[in-house]
Amino acid sequence: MKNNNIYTFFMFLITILLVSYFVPIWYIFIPLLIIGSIIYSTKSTPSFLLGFSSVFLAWFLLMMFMDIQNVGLLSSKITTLFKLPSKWLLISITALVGALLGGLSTWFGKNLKSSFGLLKDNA
Amino acid sequence: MKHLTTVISLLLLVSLFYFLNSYSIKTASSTIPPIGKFINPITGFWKNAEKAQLKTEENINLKGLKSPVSIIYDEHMVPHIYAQNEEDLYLAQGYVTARFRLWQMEIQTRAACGRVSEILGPKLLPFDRLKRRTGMKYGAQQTLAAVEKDPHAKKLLDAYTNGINQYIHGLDEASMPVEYKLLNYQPEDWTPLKTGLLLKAMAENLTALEYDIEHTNALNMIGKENFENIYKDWWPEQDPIIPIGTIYTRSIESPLEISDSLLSINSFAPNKIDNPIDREEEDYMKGSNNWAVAGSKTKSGKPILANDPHLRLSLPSIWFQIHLSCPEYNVSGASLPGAPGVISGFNDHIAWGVTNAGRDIRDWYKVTFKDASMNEYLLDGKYVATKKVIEKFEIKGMDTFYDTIVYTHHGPVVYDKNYIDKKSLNLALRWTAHDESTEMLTFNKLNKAQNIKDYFEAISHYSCPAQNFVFACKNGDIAIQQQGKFPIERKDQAIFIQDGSKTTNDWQGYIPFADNPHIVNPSRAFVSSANQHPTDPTYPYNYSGVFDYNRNRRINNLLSGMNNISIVEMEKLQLDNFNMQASECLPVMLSKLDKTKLNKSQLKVIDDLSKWNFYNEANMIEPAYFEMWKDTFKSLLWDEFYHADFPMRIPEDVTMAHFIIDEKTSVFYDIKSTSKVETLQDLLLLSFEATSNKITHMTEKNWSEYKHTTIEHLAKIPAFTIDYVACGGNKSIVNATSKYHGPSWRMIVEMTDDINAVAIYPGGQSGNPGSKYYDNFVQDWSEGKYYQVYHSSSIEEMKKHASITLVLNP
Repeated sequence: MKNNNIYTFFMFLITILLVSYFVPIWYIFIPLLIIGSIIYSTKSTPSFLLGFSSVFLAWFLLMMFMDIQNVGLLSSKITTLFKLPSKWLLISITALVGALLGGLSTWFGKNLKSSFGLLKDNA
Repeated sequence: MKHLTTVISLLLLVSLFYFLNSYSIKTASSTIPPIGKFINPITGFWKNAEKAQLKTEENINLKGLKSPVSIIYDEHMVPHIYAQNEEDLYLAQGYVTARFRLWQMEIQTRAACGRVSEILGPKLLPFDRLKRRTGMKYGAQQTLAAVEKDPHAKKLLDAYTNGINQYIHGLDEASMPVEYKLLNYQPEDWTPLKTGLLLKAMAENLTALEYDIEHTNALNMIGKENFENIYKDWWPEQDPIIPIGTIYTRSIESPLEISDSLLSINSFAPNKIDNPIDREEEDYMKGSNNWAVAGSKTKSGKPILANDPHLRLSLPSIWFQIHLSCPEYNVSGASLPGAPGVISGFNDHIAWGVTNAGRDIRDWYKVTFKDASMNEYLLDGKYVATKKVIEKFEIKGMDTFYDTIVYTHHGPVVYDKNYIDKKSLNLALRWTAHDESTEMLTFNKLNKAQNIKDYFEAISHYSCPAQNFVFACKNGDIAIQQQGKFPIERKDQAIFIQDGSKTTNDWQGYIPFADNPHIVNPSRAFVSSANQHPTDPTYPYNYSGVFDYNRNRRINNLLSGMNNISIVEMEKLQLDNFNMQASECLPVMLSKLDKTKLNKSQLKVIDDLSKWNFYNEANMIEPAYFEMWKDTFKSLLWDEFYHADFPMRIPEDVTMAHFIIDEKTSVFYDIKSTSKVETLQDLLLLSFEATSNKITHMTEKNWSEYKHTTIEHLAKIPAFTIDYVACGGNKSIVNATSKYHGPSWRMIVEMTDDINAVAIYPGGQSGNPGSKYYDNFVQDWSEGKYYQVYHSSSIEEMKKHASITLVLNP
């Protein structure tokens, strides 16, 4: 990734973390990423990967943070509930679920921008 | 092309989102909620992962408060609520209880009024229909109407409701209890009716102990003489709540109460009928212990009171420990989430506790309808109109279902052509839980009672489920009364299905309050109850029910011999694992067993059993051997009941004990499926051989593992359940911990100037499986530990035991 993509990645990551903390709507990152992607996408933006990786990491961090504070009490019960072999699989699946939606959101955002012929070369 | 990719990416995004947010996956055994909605870390289950380190100070505004309320949580998360008036106290109790137990409160009342198929689907429709047809909602409405006639009680109940609702309204998707997320539905507003429903659920739990249908089936199968031999009212070794020899008076006469008419019933008895009630036959003994010893028997010279209600063990626990303080009174103990006040506890003057009376207060009447429309039924030769109520059932994943319930003067017709009863027997249920009643007043008045006069006044408002209210006071008084609304009836009325077309079969009034069994400061210096008969047979009213013979005798034996008692001895008594039944049956079983045919490993089992001290301790294996042998023997002795085509009541264990100890000639020793006529010796040998076979294959290493005490989550979710709690005891043992039932609240209160009290229950204060307070008492409970109950009326004093403070502001 180029420098400006890394910059966009961190911007997405921090935005998702902050918004997740304050807004109790779990899919709020979808419109945010679509808009973000429309604003920040250029021809060389890795559109899917950008959303995918930022949500994956954001959710992963959120879960780690909550799990540590809860000393793993609930995650172990939900792991048993879904008959999963380990809580890391539960955390990974969850992060993956968010990541897929994130990836599709940024991909769609970039495609939309491109449909209207607004996609530019890197400045 | 560009547009196509855009459309494809949008479609993928939308469909994936729809799948994750709205699509429930149905499997054979369960429904998985929309996966993204449930597992995401923003509003999903992760938000229920409670911080191990809680905030130490919180301020919340609540509408309807007159003054600020301070709540202090002690180290066990027991809330100590300090309000400046009683209404604020109840509002705060509602709020705090909902905060810990909302889902439980809601699911219990939903179940009581037959509304679980709304959230769990069509599988539960028969369950829901039975609840509506047995008149649970109808009963709750009657009770509520009676309570609301008292303006003060209405105000308190409204305040309690208001507190719960303010908690519900403050919830968002993230803060919702995890069960709502898992079952994918929303809580609805609390109503006073729901509190009524909760009390009806307790009534059903504790009084659906009648066997009219099963008895009628049995009478048909085995005849009158056999029936009277095995379903006996009373065995002479019984030690009733009111000591034998007490003289009773009867203050009213009832001319219609004629003597037994078993024979006329026999000719009337309808065809055998089926019913869907799941009896959990092997584990049905819901019981409880309570007692109070007078100061003359204690070290401190002040009375000590103990109570341990045995109920189905569950998570969240049926009890929520609480301390309520206002200028008028200061009360501590166990509350029922969903009902205001304290149910079993103590205040600055008195202590009280409850055990179930176990008396039969439900009767079934066969209704004769004029025709299939069920608009009129026969009564004393004339046809009278029925009342029909249409009940609506909303069902998840299915069309709405309507059920017409026919009401007669007896009560609702539970079984008719539209429900289970294909032969159109049309059975109506008469049940005191359907009547107007004011149990809520009893608990409110007990919470503030100061002496024995207040205690009797308080319990006079109580009707159902009938309880043995034990009492002790700082001034030295002790007392017990069996209190409830008991019908006056013939003996057969209580036992068999009745002809509902004759008013002579109706209940003939109710036993007056003053005639209910009670005793104050007896010469033996203690009072006690453990679900045994309330009285000996000289009591001047007929009654029947399900009664225990073992716990009470053990408790009374021990209490009689005890002196200089302190709390520690009372703890030991609550935890006593002596198996009275084994001590009486096993020596006879061993001596009558023909040992000549046994092999070496079988003789080893005999040897182990003969050396056993009759204690069902967790780490012993002999209790498992005995229980296995007894159960196998029981299934051979009562084979005709176990293999009957219709619902039957397996005779009680006390009857079995008599069939072992006083061997007699009886058809029941014979095993129907063999050509041989078996004797007691044959049954003992056959059952022992089968048992020793099982023993060679058994993997459980001790009694605790074999018994397998389980504390199940209310929605039976295995991940939220505690499997294998290590503990001794069993039903009919003072420590009555069986597979699913047990001492749900152990409390001991010493009435010294500054009351000394200990308590514990198998659960935790929080209903949240993601909280460390969900099940943190279970280990200590299983080890027989107790916690000090803090009850100071001073906030400053209480702050010494606590680190978390919550202030509720108007």
